[in-house]
Amino acid sequence: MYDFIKNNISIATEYFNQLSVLPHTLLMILIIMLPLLILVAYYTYAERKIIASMQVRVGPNIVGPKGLLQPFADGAKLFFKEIVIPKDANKFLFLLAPIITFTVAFAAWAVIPFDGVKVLSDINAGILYILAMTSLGIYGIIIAGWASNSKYALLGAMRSAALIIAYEIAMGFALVGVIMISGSLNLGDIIDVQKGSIFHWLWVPLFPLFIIYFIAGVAETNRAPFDVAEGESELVAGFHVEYSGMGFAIFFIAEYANMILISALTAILFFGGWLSPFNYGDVNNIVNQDTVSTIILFFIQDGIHWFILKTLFFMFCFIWFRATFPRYRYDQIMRLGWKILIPLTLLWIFVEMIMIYFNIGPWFK
Amino acid sequence: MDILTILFYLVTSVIIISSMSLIIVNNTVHAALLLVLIFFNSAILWLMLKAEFLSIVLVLVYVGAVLVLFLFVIMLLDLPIKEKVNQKLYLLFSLIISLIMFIELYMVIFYHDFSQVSEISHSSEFNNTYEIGLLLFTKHLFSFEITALILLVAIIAAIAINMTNKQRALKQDPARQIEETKQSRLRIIKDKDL
Repeated sequence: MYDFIKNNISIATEYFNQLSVLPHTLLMILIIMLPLLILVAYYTYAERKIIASMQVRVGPNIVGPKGLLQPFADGAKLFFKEIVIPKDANKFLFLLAPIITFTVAFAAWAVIPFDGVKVLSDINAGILYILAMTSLGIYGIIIAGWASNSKYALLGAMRSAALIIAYEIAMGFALVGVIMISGSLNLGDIIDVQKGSIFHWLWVPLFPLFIIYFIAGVAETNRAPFDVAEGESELVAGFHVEYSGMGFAIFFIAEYANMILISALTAILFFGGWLSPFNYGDVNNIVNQDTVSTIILFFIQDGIHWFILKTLFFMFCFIWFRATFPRYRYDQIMRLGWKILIPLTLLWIFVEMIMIYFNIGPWFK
Repeated sequence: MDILTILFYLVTSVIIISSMSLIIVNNTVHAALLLVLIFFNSAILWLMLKAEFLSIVLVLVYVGAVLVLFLFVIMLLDLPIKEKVNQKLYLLFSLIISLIMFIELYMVIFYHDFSQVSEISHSSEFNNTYEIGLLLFTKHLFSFEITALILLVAIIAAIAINMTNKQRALKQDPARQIEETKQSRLRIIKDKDL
């Protein structure tokens, strides 16, 4: 009896030791999630403000100073709205779809390196993991479209599925180009390869792949000019036409989180992540350090602030595209994806192969 | 029993339960989604065997691409939900097949010496992807190239099957579209011409 209890106690302590990493991981997840959610909220605000200014309007300016509390007002409104489930809809899948979309949009952030050391999970196959997670996002859309029992939703889901499958291939090939140079699937290693100055970043040797990656990223997130899945003038709102209240809000948050993810990935893969664009040398040797020069030196060094700045730039590009380009026609999207982007990526991978073989340029050692 | 063992039993029980319900459910879309669940949990199993490359590729290829196309087709076909089928014939065939599979598995498990299989232990530096790539392009190069050829043939065959009569297929020619000018599309008619 005594042995039995003793055994159980030892097993319990073992569990406790194994579980003790759990609070730490949960805390890390929270540290990543909370700023992201706030960023999503203010991304919607920034989108409305920027598009308004591009169209010579004012934008939201009533709630709070300069309309800064608008996202929270919208959130509160959506939170208290009734969730309407359509007649004959598949209730379980209808409620599951936003959850899948949301989970997948945030799961990919686990391997994003924010800094030389700040990364939740530093796995070897990081880039593959991200590709896998972003390709799962389509399930939320397809299930939402089918479970809604509405023809608009189904059509939107089908369009979105075809679009994502088409552009995922181009995106994958663009990533192959990055992997060929870095020789690693680890995102940290990919950034380490780009050390030096702004001209050592991968956007120089891989310029066509960078353009294709970003175009495919815009298409994957179903944003303008590739937003045929929503297509207000044709499908009302596409796959989430039947969703109200929090269901709609979760789709919305997931879409914006995906946009931020694509921006962060573009910054990491082609623009050196946390690396500084200046070749500043060894700053610690400088003797004369007053306050101003210390601050300047801090900013020109590698650090998370460069990663955030680069990500914000690409996030701005998403909004910029929406305000600039008209929506593509559906067959034009398919032609662009299959007949232009995929052959271009294949061609550039071949060019890169030759450059690596003959050691051309400073990037291929 | 450590956490990994508990996780193993959890994952395998999910796989077994969802495999059984995959066969039982009447709704085809539900069946396809259960298959997604099975693949996902198999990926977790492979991850626990430290085969992270294979497990992520399983999610990427099967869950992210193949089953999406499955769902795509199933949803567009609008299949009726089957109410009642003649189950006696099914029962006979399924009994025969499951018996054969049981005998096979029995022979594999009880006539194979598993004691020789070494414990999988790598350092964290061990690069799974690198090793697989090395093997694929050296030892298994021939079978790798054959697979590539088979896939190429399959792609060409799929395109050939879908090539229909050109008169029937409606399609737009972008080269001709951009040649159109204002003069060729637009004619301004004054009131007095009518």
